[in-house]
Amino acid sequence: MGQHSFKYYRDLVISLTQKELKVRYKRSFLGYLWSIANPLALALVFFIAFKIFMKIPIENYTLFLISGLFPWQWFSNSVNTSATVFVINAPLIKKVNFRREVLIIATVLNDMIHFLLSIPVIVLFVYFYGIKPSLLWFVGIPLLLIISFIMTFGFSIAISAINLFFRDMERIVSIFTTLMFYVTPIIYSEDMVPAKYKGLILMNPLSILMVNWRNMFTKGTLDFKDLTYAFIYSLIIATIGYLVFRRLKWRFAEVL
Amino acid sequence: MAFAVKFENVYKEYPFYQHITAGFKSFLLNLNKNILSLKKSKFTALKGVSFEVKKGETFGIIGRNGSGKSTILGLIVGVIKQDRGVIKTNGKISSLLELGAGFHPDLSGIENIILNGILMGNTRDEMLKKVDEIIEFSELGDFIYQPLRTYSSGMYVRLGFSVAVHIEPEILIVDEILAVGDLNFQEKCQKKMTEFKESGTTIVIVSHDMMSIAKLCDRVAWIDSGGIMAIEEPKEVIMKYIKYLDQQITPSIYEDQAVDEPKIQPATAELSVSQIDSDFSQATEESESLSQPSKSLSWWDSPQIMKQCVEIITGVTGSSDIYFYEFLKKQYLIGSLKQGLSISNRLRGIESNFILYDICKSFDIIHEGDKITELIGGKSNFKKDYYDLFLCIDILHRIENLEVFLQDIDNSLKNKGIIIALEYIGPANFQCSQKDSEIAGMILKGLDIPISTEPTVDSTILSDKTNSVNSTNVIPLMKRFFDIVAIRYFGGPLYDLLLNKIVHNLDMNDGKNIEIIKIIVQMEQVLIKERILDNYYACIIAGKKSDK
Repeated sequence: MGQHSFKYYRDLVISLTQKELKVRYKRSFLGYLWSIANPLALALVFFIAFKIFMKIPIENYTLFLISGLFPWQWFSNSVNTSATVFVINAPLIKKVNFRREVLIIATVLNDMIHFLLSIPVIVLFVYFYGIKPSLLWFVGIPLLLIISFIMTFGFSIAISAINLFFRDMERIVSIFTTLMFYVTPIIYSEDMVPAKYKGLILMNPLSILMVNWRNMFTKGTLDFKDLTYAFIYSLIIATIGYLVFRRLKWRFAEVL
Repeated sequence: MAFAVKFENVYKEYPFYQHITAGFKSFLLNLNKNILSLKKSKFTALKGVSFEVKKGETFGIIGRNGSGKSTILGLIVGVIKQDRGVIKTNGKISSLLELGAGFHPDLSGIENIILNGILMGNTRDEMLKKVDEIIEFSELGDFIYQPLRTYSSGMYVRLGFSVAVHIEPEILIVDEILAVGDLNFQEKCQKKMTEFKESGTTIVIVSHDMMSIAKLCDRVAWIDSGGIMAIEEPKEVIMKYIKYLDQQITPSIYEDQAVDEPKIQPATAELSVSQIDSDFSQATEESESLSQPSKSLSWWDSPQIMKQCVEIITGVTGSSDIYFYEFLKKQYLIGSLKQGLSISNRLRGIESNFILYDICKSFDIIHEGDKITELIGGKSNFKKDYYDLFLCIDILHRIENLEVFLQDIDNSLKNKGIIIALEYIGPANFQCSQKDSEIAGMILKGLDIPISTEPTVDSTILSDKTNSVNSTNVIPLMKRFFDIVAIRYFGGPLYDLLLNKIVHNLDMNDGKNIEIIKIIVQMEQVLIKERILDNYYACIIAGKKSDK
């Protein structure tokens, strides 16, 4: 693949991300509101089910929910979209030579931007429940963004590459993300997990991430030890994901 | 000279992926077979291909479908990787592999221009500078602000082409796109290609359009089954390719007749496939010895003579095959017809069948032999309502009952079907008129060619019932049965003499004689225009009458 300047790759990533942003809601009337509406609707369902019917003993449950649900949506959407990203862009893959990973980066970035746009909603609820915004946010948000990005990218790139050779992957991924959602403390708190399963739940790299996102918004705390773990996790996942991708990428144009 | 693209002993294999992509169930059901075949089954697309494209050169690649052309382009562009061998490229590559790859229907024209340009390796700033020029070239006007989904397919392709040619490539990869858009835009594309050529851009081009290949390319490679058969001047390669195609088709159709049919062709003229493959220079030598054939042979029995003769004549008059091919192209008929039938006397069959490759997806051939004799005798069993195209070459004027024959063709033609006839329309039985033969004699005398212009009736022609009983009826009868679209005349008595006599007596490898033939052909064109000589040959294009 040709040698290009950093400026070129920056332009490539930006324009592909822009394209995704423009295209996603271009023909709909409410536009970007949909990217908030979806997780909000989900939050409402969970609120009714868990807070009103099952009386889950968590304070400020709406805030609790959305501060975990929004970052989860980022991860889940990215991974699911990535599964088919190469398939959808088949003409491009077959005919134009460019770094294929850029498509994945653009997908993950696109969902990240949607997540960023939904942070004001979280902030709104923070105010609504009378919690004080913490200065720690200015450190926490960028840090968590980077770690989440690397981890999401790692999962996405491996899944997208494998799906070209094994199309069942996209179905598996959609089941996998649903399962992961329930074993990650998002609708419940990690304290509610029985002690003997707690270790298991916390082995899940996504748990550490989501719990930290939530704690930052609801409690204004950050566990730097946790973040270090999450960072190492994300690097390992991204490395493995990238290696899988690199091994398969020359065959992309052949199987499409 | 520096190279732009270099292949050194390149191998490319494709494993058969369908075992996996066909799904788990079918994979399990055939587990044993699949595991075995996964290990073994590979399709070798390229087998040790080596060539070099020089900087600034226009390099053509021709070959049948599935011969490995696209694989080569893919490797040059870098979307796939070779299994063995070395590939080097030198310069910024732009590909016209698939116009508008990566366009998004919901983005506007401008947005797509910039995105596409960036995908092809430019920065945003570079694209912003070029965007006005691209918009102007594409002739899309205000549509450029509309989303692409509102575009017609022609507009879509125009935009794709405009982007691809404006990113200042050093190596331009072109795959079969020379005919995009309407005629105007096509001309513009051709002009742009010439501009590229002149400005020193290296161009690698794959096409089935031999006309464009011959016009544009400096050198041409012919690929077959993953190996290079020849790399030479365009004309040389194209002729070899055509000859090869012809030999590939003919045997399979005449298998059942081969036993009792006497061989008309001299054995030496038949270049077997392996001969072409292994040693072409030898094969050429062999055919060269045919340029002074023994008297017993008809002129068309030697492919070598025929090739040169046809080349010269069509080159000078721009006639016959090339004419109707160009015509069909302009009518957007290339590739649009499904089923064709070519009926021809051997003489022009080779070129014409090769042209059919482009026009029809599939076609049948009736060449020489018993089938032809049957046709002439009035036994035509064409399938009813089956063909989209009839190509009749040097055959209609030999048919005894032309009315019935044309009626049969009409019945066999589908709605909107086309008939193309390349025919002798001169005096019956090739009996040149007194006036024509006198004039022809004067000209030949002036050129110092010792040939009698007295009309002679070739006994062999009469005996095998191939006399031209109906030559003067061809055009009137065709007018009655079909809607004539175009008639192009391309030669008179001199042309006739040229084909039937002169080439026997002249050494066609002598440049002087080639010049003489050119002069004769040109002179005749003038005389025909002045109505001093009559037309003897015509290309007639007609369509099935629409009022049925």
